[in-house]
Amino acid sequence: MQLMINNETAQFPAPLSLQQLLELLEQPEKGIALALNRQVISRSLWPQIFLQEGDSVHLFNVVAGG
Amino acid sequence: MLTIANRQLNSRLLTGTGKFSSASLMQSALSASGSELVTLALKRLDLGQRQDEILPPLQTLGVHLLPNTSGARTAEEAIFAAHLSRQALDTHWLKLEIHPDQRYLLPDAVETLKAAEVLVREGFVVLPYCGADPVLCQRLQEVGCAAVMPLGAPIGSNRGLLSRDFLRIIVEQARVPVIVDAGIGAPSQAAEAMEMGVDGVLVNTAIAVAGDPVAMAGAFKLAVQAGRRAFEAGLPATSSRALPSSPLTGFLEGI
Repeated sequence: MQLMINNETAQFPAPLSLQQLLELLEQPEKGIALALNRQVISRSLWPQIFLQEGDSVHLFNVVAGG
Repeated sequence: MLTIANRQLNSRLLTGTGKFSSASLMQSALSASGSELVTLALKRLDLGQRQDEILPPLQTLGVHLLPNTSGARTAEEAIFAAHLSRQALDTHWLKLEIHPDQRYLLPDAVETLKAAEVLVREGFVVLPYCGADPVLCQRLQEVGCAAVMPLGAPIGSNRGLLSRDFLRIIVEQARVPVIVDAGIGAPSQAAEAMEMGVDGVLVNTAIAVAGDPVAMAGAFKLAVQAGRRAFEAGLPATSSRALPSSPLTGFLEGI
């Protein structure tokens, strides 16, 4: 299925949960947040929410800052 | 002891994690500062690049994390960033900052107050970066902010307490902790703020870009402690004319 990850399109196998997406992208779980179709998704829901064709995911991480 | 929203902190020096040349230097400097509450930012994840590991050194230090909403230009964006940071760091503490103008990074009072009201209702512990405006600080306090963080001077400018006269009014009126955020460029300026009776200061640039950040962090730690001790000791009143420290008995007259 086609997804938009941080505004770039890419192909992914289905079914795919948000949790599995992060694993595929080799992202650590800590210090990461994500929004699905502009909605911030609670960490506890990541394993339960499965992506659908055309979904847009934005990923964010914690960085140094003042 | 500084208490913010029922959390007790031994150190009145809050620090930022930005601009350090390496994570290990940041860790050593923050350790030397004695700071127990440190700020972080959020960024759109760059999938092509290896991420710098900011969290492990902070976890080693055992400090409390204070994510900011830097990059937000409106209340709506700041609220979105707050929701992200709560997920990323599992904390409901937040340094709320909204600065639409990139040149001076001055906080937008209207958007900040609007966002603070919503975020407090949602259960966040909100520490807003704001102008040194006593009336605004009152309003932020009224909507439930856990502290107010008025600026001394623009972020990263190292110009010290340009807002000192207004900071004095804020200190006089505040019922929540007052943390001077932004602009403090030297330990003497941190000490001046503390002598004035502010509850804490937040320093990032002045430590991170110093020739020796670890030594500078130590200097800020001492300055904050000295300034606080002086405030608690009670500073003397000032006078425009001399008042003798020795007895003027005229004992040498007529010899």
